[in-house]
Amino acid sequence: MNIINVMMFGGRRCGKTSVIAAMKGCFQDVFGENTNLDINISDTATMDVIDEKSAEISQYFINKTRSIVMNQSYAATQGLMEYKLDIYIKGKDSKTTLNICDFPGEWLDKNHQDEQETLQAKIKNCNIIMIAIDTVYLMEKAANHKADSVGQYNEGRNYCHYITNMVKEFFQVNDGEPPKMIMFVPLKCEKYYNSCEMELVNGRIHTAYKEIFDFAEENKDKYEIIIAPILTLGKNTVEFSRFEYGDDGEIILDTDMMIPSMPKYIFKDISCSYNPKYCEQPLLYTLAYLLDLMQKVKDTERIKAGLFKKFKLYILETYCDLASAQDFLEHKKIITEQLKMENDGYEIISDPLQLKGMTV
Amino acid sequence: MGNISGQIDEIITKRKAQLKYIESARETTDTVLENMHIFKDFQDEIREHLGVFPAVEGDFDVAGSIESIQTEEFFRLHREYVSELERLIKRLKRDNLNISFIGRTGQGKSLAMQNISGLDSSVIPSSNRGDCTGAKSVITNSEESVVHAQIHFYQKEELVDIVNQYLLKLTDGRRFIKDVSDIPAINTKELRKTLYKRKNETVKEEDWLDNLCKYVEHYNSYVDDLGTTKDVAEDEIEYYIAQYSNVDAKEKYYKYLGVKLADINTPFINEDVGKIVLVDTIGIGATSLGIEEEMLKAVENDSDAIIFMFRPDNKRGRISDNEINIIRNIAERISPEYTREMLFWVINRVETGDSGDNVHQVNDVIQTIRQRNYPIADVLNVNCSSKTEVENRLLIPVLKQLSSRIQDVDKLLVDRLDQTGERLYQMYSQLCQATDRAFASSANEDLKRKFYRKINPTIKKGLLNELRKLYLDDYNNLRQMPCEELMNAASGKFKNIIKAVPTKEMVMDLLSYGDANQFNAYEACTNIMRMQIIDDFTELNNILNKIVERMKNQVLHIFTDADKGKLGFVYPLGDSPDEWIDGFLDLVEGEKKYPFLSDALRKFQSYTINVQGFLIHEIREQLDPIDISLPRPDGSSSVPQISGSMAQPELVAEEIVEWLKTYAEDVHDNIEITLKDLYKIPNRSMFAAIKDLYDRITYTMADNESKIAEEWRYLYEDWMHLIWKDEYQQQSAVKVIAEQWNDVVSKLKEINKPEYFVIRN
Repeated sequence: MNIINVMMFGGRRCGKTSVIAAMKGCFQDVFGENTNLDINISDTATMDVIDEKSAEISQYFINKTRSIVMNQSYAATQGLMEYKLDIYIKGKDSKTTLNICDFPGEWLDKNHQDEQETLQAKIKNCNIIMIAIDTVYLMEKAANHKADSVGQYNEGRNYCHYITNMVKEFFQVNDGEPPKMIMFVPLKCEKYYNSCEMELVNGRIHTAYKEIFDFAEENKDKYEIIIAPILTLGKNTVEFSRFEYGDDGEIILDTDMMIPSMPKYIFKDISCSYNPKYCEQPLLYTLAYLLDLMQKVKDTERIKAGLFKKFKLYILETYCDLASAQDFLEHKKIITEQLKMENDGYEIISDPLQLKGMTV
Repeated sequence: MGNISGQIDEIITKRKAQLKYIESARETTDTVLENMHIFKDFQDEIREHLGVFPAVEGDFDVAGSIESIQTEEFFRLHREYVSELERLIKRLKRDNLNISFIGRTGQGKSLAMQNISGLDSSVIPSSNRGDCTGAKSVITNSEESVVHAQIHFYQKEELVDIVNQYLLKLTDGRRFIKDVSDIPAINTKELRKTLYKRKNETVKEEDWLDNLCKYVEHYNSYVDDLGTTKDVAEDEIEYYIAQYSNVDAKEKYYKYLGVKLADINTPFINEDVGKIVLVDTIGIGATSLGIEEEMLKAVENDSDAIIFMFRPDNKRGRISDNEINIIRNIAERISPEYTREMLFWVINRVETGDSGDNVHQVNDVIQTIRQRNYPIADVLNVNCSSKTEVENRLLIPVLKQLSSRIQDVDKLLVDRLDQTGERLYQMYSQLCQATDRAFASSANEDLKRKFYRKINPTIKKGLLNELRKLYLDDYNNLRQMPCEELMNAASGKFKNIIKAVPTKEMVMDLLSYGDANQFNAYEACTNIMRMQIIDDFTELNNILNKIVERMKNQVLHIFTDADKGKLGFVYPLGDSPDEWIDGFLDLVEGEKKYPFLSDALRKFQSYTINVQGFLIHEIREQLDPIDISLPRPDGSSSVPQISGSMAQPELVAEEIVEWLKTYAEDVHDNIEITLKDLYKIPNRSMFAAIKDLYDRITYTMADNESKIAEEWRYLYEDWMHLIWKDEYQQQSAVKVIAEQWNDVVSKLKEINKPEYFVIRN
């Protein structure tokens, strides 16, 4: 059985589950007319959590008030969650399982030693790491308007150093192994998108995760690295207003984490509607990775096969439904064409999969 | 009457509490005087023995210089200051509040006082038959039911002075008496003959002679009482203070001639008026000499409030120069500020009586007074023959004003005294400076050569090199760093940006104002916020002033320290660096004698940093998000969407507050980031100021010569008598004077401090 393991990473409440929810919201588009791919959710019960998250977001738009505090009502992820999605090329025997793993951000805190060991084991078997970034904490309260400084509360929210260390230590690619993917997914970018500051967001990700980028630079062929910002609420809808202040003029802090506890968002236009943007991109990149890997698996299988097996594969691929390397390649091309690779903060930093080369 | 008597008690108690400060200031004046006398004696000694202190050959005339220091003006001002202090002490010591009644004769003073005190005309003489009050009296509201008076008689010497006033006037200063026993021997007949012979004889002179005759002819009526005090019963009071009987004007009294003051105690008609005293003065225009001066003294020394009585009549239906002069003279004597609070012009309205009514004239006079800007508290229209009117229209308004304003008036007097004290201090300081200058430039060339070995290293190592170290070691490093004090103070201001957002309640108030809509309210809020933020950041000037002052102190410490520049021996460094520069340059006559050095110090003195210069414009630029008059950079509207309707003001107010908070956050962040680059400016600027001073006092050239080096040398040579005092004394050719002089001057300078000349409260 072919399995691609995806691990969500990010600090507490920074939006890991929101990334999964955003991806799920795009299934219909991605697996509809635009591609010849199909998806099957094998464990629908686990998806209830994702649906709840999606419902929370759309709720903001139903009973609009001028300002809102996000993530207030939403419960934290309880325990390790795995979402299994079977991906097919329509009409082909090509099932590949995407196993997306989510975990409570609290596990990254010091007092969760056991859980961290579990995570470490999981990371080792991962193909893709998606790092969810709470962009507001990355961007706000920085020392200046330049890319070389990040928000003073960034570390407290996004755990950049901890994640960097985890990646460098446990997400290694041995020689001969296929490349792995690291995808940075900045969320809550609406304010910066509206004010054309997405390149600054991109720059500050480079600053905050510099060690990961340096590490990848040394292992260029081993990591596909992407920055793929998403607007879960949409352009000109809700954007960050402020970290709420107390009567003393000080920002109200979470006494445990010592980061602002009430990030307030404001509807600039109260008549706006839910209009997510780029939410399909993390899924498309994941699929591109998956298809690339499967194509390479098929190629390798054929190269290594003896004459009889080669003949058998020919018969199965030509007269039966077995998906060939060519099938995966063709679909990879279709997906790659839909990938956003630049502008609005998007960037492929390291590209062993040669996704950039496949676009026309 | 309300609680006026309680308030008067409170005022009296508070006055007494203040007394100790004034008394302490009075005591200090004795110390000052003592030191000045020592100095004056030394000056006199030099003056008398100039031969013993000859001008040193070819050198500066030290003795002449000391002798020429002027002290007369200081002593005059000191006397004035002491006299004012004593007057204030007497005032604050009083157990009552005094209301003086003044005016020409026959204006109704006595009538008004009778209607307040309940005394009749046998005790307070009132009559239309000319001079009736013979002596000054004060009437105290007493708790005792029996009316009585303490009659204080003149001392014999005082009476001699009074009689001499007349004699001197009538004989053009040729005749006077020495003792009271000489009075009967005054030949009044001869004086009258001489008077008739004079061509320009006046009615006044005749009146004076008549008055003198009274002293001569009725000598026995008063002579035995002189120098004594008597306690007399009510029915006897008249004999001592009236000139004739209130029942029969033909019955004349003369005891008043020896009376200085009648202190009458009686329960007033309305006893609730509290601790007040009425001061009756002799009517102006009376034939006695010195009446107006006596009145002015009573106003100055014995009064809290002053009632000026005026009764218009057919003959004098308008305000004349007489009245205007009285008001002017009083204001001159006790200050217009005082009279504007406590001088009441009472127009005595007569409705019936022998001489007819004056109702019409009263109205005209009051209108005239109101139109003109006389320095008075109020003009009161009172029928002084009516007890009710006197109480309601005179006494109560005056007492109300007294109870509410007298403390401010007292403060005014203390402030005025402090001003005199300050002037005295300035004069004293100038005197001390003059003593310093007395020996300036007194060294001869030999002495200068001897001291060169001290002067040169003091300038180069002690002063210039230390200053160089300060800018190199301290400020050169500092200029790379942000100014922490400014940064810390600014962080408080950032919080205030958020606090500047009006509350929901304030916005609702704005919404309820007139026909304001939500956008007007939003705009009003942003306008308020901008001004508040700018004002708040402007307060950072206090921090900048503090750090600049500290830097200047560091620099001037190098100039003045005993181990560095030593100039503190010439003029000590006090609390304020700017004051040191002023004082020092003034003392050494810097602008005249050391122009380049003075110029450098003046430039350094004028150095300042303020937020308006480098910060406020940057902050202003960041306020654009809360300025709806400015378009947004992207061209969008600067007025946010406010969706609630005016029917739901609370909802609208909430929305406005949300928007304001959102934009306040932008303003806050942008200002915070902008200022980060500016925090270094104060340190850089201060470095530049010190460096500039160093360059100027080290390298200034003129005509290809290092003029500044020359000036430094001259300065230390001129003032070596203070900088190296002991060595100078030993070696100076004028050491005969110098030793004694130093004792005198050091005593003088010991108290050259403001605290010796101000009232510390």
